[in-house]
Amino acid sequence: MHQGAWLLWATAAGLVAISTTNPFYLLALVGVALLVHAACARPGPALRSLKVFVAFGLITIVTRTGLTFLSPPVSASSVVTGLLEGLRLATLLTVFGTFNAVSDPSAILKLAPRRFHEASLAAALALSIAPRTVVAAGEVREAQRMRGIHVSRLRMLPALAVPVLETGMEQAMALAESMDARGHGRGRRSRYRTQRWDRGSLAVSLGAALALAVFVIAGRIGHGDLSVSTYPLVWPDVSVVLVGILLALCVPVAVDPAPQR
Amino acid sequence: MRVRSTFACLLLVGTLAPVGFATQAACASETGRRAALVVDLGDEGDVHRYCVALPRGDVSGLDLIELAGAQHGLTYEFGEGGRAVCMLAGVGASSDDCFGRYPYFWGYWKGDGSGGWSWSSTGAGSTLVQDGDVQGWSWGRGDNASSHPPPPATGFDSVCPPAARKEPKPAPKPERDQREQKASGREPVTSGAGPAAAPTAAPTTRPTAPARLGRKVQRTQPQATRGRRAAAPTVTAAPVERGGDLAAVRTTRDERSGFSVAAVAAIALTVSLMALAVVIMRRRAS
Repeated sequence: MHQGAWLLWATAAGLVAISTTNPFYLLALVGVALLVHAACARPGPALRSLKVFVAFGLITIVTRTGLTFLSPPVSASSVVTGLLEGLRLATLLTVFGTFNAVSDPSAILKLAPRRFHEASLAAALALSIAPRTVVAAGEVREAQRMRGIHVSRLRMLPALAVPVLETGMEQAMALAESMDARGHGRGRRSRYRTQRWDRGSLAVSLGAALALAVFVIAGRIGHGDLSVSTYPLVWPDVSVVLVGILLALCVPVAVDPAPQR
Repeated sequence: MRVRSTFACLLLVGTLAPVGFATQAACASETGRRAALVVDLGDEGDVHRYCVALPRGDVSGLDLIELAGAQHGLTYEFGEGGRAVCMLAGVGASSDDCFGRYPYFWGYWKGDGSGGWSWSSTGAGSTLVQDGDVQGWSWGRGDNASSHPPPPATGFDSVCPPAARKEPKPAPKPERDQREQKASGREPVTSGAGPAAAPTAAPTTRPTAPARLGRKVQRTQPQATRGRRAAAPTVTAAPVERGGDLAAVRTTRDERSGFSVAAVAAIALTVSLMALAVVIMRRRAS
């Protein structure tokens, strides 16, 4: 699938998440993101990286809710406000984690116009650092275990950090050398295996655009209680249309399932 | 350690916030920026319109009410730690029981400047009032834009005439809406004293952040005035008697609560999506 379609999908899903504090839509969107992740995540370390994002999301909810207790008059209204806003952030994190796992950074890099190639290269490298560090840490820990080093996790941290940093440095040097050897940054680039904007990509983009458009319009005309009232605390309305349109974000499941091993 | 310093930061912000407010109030003058504030008392009175001169610095929707109070004598009460509007121009609830008159509450609307209104998706504490803005508060029932009555169409120029542009402090110009006049045979209400209807009522704002640390609940209207002129024969006003009032609130809440079909569908969809995700994950792992 064309990586631009994934970009559109993530943008649309993220904007939908930001546009509402209604827990029904947010939870449904989390469900959609988890389903897309399950079906489409690339095999490899990225498959597991969503856990980190979900964990961060839970921490966000707890922190945001906890913050409400610091501002004096604590009422059910203020706590629910914090909870819903935390949920919104957590949903956004889940969407981003899914995008991270389903998209291919180097393929996205190829989409950038030539003029921005250097900048986007730096961005792509920066983005890929987290998964590579996780892999490197796993390798180092395994190597230490094989040598019979058993220390508690906390005390192991310095022993772990140095080799991980070293590995990162080595990888960066190797990448730079290989790019240099291929004549990077000297004149025209040739493109291989150009991504095609095929029917599936189009379907994903259209579904994402449709969902986003419906949510924007609903926000405009005030349909479906996108922003839940917490002062006073009111049970939110739910619109079947808005819940249903979230299914348009599930198109990638049918179009681009990850290859089975 | 980090927790402690974060706490210290928050405390600092909390102590400094009132200072900021004080300075802001002090230099409230001659910026030439103005905003229109429309207060629609709905079934319980008239429509007040105020042209409010904006001071330097950021002005939130709640600050605008305070400014209207200082410049034109609009009475108001904030509750929930200064985050929710409980009472405006004598209509609404006291800050102790800010939502006492729910389902009636103060709906917060943003005007487009030429008469149209849109339901504000954020709380008045977190909106920024700009020069030429129109903001509206309407007393009524209905939890969203489709069911809550908006204030009457009001353009910015009709409240703040262009001729008065350079005037630093425009004179109070509350205008009465004709549709209200005939509604009840009560004396016309202007910006100053409001007829306090039943002293229990509900307001609304939809704040998003704990923006107002250390802010005091405002109480502008003297206790004596409140409640005395109340209980005029307004048609839909909640009964003054406390017990009856509560009962009314409870029944409407019961009507609303309870899962609607759409809510059940949403939950079912969410659960099935997650279950499907787990199944696919399992299959891929094996």
